[in-house]
Amino acid sequence: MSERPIEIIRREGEIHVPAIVYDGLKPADLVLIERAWGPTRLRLLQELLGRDVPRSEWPESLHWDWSRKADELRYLEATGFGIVCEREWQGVMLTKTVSHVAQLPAEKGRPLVYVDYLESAPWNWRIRPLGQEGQYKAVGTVLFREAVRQSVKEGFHGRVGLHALPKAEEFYRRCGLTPLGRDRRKQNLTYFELGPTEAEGFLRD
Amino acid sequence: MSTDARFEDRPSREWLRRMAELEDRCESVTAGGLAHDLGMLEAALSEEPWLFGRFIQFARRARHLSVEKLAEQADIDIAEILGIECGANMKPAPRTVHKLAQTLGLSSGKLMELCGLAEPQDEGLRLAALRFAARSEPVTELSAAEREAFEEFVKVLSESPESI
Amino acid sequence: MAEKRTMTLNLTPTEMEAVEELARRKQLSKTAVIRQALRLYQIVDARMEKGDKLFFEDSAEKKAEVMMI
Repeated sequence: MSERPIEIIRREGEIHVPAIVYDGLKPADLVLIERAWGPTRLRLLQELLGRDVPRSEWPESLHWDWSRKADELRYLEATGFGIVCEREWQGVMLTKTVSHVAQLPAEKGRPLVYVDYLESAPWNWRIRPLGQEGQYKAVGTVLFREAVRQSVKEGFHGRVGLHALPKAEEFYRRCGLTPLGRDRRKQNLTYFELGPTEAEGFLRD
Repeated sequence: MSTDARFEDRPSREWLRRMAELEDRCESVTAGGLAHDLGMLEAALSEEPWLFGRFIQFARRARHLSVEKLAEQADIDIAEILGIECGANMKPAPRTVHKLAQTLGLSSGKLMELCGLAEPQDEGLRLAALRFAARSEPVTELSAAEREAFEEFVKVLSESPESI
Repeated sequence: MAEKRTMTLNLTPTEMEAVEELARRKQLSKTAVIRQALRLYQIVDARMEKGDKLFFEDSAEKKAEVMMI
């Protein structure tokens, strides 16, 4: 496992805080992460139910469970990334390098880094119906950038693919990814892909 | 993509702020093709063993039964009940569920649905179970008897030769 | 990234050509081609160990079985 210093933003005060991004999480790390995030997920669930918030306004990944992904990290193709800030896991991402290939016409069949899963800690979520502003932001951005970096390091020229949850589509579009239609094999989520040129643009700031 | 130098540096703070703003406008950047089947609430309750377990525990306590007593009355293994209550048991045996239903005075059919052994008949049951779980107290406060039992066990642990 | 170990590969000319062809088509270095192949092999092997079968589906969506022994 390697680590690198980065920064994320604490919402309160809008200040940049130092954090570490880890590359190469182990299965046990995912179990620990879920143990740390689980209670907050449950509390949020209870609050959402208690206030009768309509399901459509719930955070989309409320019921995820990272410990269920622990076994997948045993494969060479899978890489786990995590961000730690103030001694807590603030974001996690799982990428794969073999199970998906590029779909963009100009890149068809070439390898890419597929973002299997990306999530910021539940206390970072902005949940308007509960008045939760979220502690840290830019976590998702930093993690996604790590996926692009991984793609470059692997020799995939920055190609990245992912299925975005509905509320995240706009973000990935703005990052330069091309939507390639709904995928009925993935619960009709829209598949997005970043090509080499767009990746370079993204990394250049 | 020739040089590595370009992306070894950290992104500028300005860029990070812009992206964070974008994140905020979009509410979320979660990605995950399997998000929906990894326990989304629409899925069968059987994927949420903690929910079934919580319910059984409360049904038991509502009848003022200890796990021991329940095990005895329902003729089920203590270990099995404990496993169910803490959500470790993904699919309890049909006989166990049936016995629990009988002993706790619950509808066997509904209980089967709740733990995923039977096809859900309607959305209402699932929602009702969730509502119940959300409103029920998590077991944070120990009753006097529980505290006594706990302290007794702690004593045994500290007396055992393996403890350092 | 963690430190790397080195291995010397002895390939026949045909195998070498195959690596070079794949590297060209996929815009990868020869090393990257081998690493991708290894990752894929590991996945396939693990699934087959479990008892799963590997299939190819042609464009007409007809399945043909590919089994590795």
